[in-house]
Amino acid sequence: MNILGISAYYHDSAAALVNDSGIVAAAQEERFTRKKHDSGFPTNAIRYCLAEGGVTEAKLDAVVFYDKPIAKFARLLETYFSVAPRGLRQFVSLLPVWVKQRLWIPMEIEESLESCGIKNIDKMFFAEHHESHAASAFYPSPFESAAILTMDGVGEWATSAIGRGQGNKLEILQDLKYPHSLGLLYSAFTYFAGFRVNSGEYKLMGLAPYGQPKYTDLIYKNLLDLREDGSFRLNMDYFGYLDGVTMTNDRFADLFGGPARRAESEISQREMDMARSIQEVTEEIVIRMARHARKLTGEKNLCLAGGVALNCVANGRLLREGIFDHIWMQPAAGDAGGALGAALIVAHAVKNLPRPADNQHDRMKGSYLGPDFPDDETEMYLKANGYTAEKLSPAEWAPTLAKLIDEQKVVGLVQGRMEFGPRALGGRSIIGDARSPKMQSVMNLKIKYRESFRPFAPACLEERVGDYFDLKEPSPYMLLVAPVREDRRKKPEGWETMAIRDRVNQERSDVPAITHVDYSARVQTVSRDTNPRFYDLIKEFEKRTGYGIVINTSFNVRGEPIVCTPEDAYRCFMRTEMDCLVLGSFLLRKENQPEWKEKANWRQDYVLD
Amino acid sequence: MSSVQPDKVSAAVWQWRDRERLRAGEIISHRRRRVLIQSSVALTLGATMLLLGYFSTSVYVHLFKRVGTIASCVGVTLFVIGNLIPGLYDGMDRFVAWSAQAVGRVLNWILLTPFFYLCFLPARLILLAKGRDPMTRKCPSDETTFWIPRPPRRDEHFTKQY
Repeated sequence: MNILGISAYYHDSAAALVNDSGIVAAAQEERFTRKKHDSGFPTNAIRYCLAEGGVTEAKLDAVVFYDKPIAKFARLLETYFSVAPRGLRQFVSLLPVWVKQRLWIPMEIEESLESCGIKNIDKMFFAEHHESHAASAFYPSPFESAAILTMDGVGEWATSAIGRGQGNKLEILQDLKYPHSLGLLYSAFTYFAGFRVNSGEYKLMGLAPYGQPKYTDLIYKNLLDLREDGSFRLNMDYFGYLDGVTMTNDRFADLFGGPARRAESEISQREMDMARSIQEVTEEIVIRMARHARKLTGEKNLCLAGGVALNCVANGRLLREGIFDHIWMQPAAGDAGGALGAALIVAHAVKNLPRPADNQHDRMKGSYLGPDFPDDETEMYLKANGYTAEKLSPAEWAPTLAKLIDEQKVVGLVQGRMEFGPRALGGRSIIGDARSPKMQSVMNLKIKYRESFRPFAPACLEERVGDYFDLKEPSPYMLLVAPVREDRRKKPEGWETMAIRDRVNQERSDVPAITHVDYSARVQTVSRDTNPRFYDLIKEFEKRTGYGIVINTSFNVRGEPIVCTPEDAYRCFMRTEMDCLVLGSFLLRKENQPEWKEKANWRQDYVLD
Repeated sequence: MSSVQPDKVSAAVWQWRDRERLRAGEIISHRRRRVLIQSSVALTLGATMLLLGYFSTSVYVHLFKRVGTIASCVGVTLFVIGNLIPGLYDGMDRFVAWSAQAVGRVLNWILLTPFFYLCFLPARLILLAKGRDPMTRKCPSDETTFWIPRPPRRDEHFTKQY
């Protein structure tokens, strides 16, 4: 049995392939088209999934789309029935897109599959948006049974949902409906802080520790009516997304003392305080929802998905609150993961595929579900282009790279299968020495070309996580934020009275490059089971330095999707001040490479997020 | 480029060996197809108009002849430029596409504005008169919870787009 799941047309289009043995492949379209958050139909991702699974026309049993387009369209029309005479601009911009494209999804799917050599599709299914999220959270999780909480912007009507999964059964029990959405509330603040909606939310989260929760009461008093069970209603008088083309309106601006910040302008204390305030509100809502989910289902495990589940600060707090014994987050919690969930729910709920669960190991294969490029192919590519590389034997590989990191080199790492989801987990990563006090600014300004306040994440050996962080659970997908251990922290003189913005330039711990200004870190624990090469590298680094921890950031520059092929990686390597590039078994040093001829304005290829 | 064939995944998503050739080939065949279709349409229209101009007894014979001549000239010009000066053809094509998009945008506003007000405004007024609020915008509200219970799935749930 082969089932193809597809998500498209909102943001982060993706495809996923599931068969009797589990998840075969999954990838986001942006990685192939090189257009960040590409929302177009994922023809390339589909082509990849079918190639990875060796699926031909005769072998494809079903195709599943991750939401119900007609229900979504009905919601759109009902919105205009509710807001007219306002909403004209939104209507004129959206209706042609729907009429031209989104109402003809079965035909788009047929056309796309035809280009991949598949002419007849036996069965086409449509799952609900939050059902797809819920399935992506529960089915690959380690749990035999669990409560499920999904939170994002909006699907058809639902904006958050609570469900229960047991064995291969999954049911949604309750939901919150549009326009009352936690995801859209967070996005409204993202927009107001001058970041791109559906893209800059994680920046707002990273900005929060620089601010004070000055606006929390204001938000509770004016923007939402929150219940004890985490359900809420937004005061739509302050938001623009229902009847306009912006997330917030003039009343919102008046409430926060001025207009929205313009993109790329200086970030003021107001934006930092707003970021902190909405982060605290979000965490409170998530915690109340989780308590309600526990009460409603009686389950002791929780599975999370939906864009809000990428808020790793909230996830970390949820874990520390101890409402559930264990929580598991889908690594591709955003809309891309909907493709996987859609395929899984049809496999289990329609085709009745059994679901093994041992309450310990998940079935995401470390989220390494994308393409891998063999050394032969890479070697031919390097030779054909005259790029100088040295081939490392398996015994040399980890020690050589550990030495380079110890020498303060910044290394681009492409090895094994590409990650599915927004995080680079050692398959398509840039790595460096977490002990270096300069590494954060070097990487931000010379390699990633991004804002200097942005923190970097650590990748540490799974068994060593407790040595560095107050975290007892593994965090294989970098979806938990945990405090750096008290005994590793450094408090320079005047720390307590220092403006939080000045703290960014201080050495805050013995692993300063990954310690955020509030002593937190977004942790990835690396296990030998899921990524042996990356594990060995960190282990070798530990042997040399005594530190089983490195910086791990995604292999891209600002606005660019994470690299997919060795070719993407080489381009990014030469455009930045990275020192070395690893392509499978090959090590490339910058100084040995031929002159890189590049158009001066290459950064314009990417829309800044 | 190489004697070794790429593996199935590389062949599907990383066609570095033949990319330039494939891309150039694609562009050329796409352009040829467009030139052929556009010039055929123009020439067919031109020929039809000229035939009507010479054989019809209508009062519009002069108009038919004029339109036929213009259309035929456009067809021939497109064919010649498309095949001999592809750069110029691509530029013209981009300009036409840009103009069409601009016209489309204006038309959208012209057609959709009356539709919006004729369709949605009366419906809104009816909803207001009936005291209905499909977007549940009453805030604050006195409801104890905003969670809405979900009915069980129908049998045909996964086959419907709604």
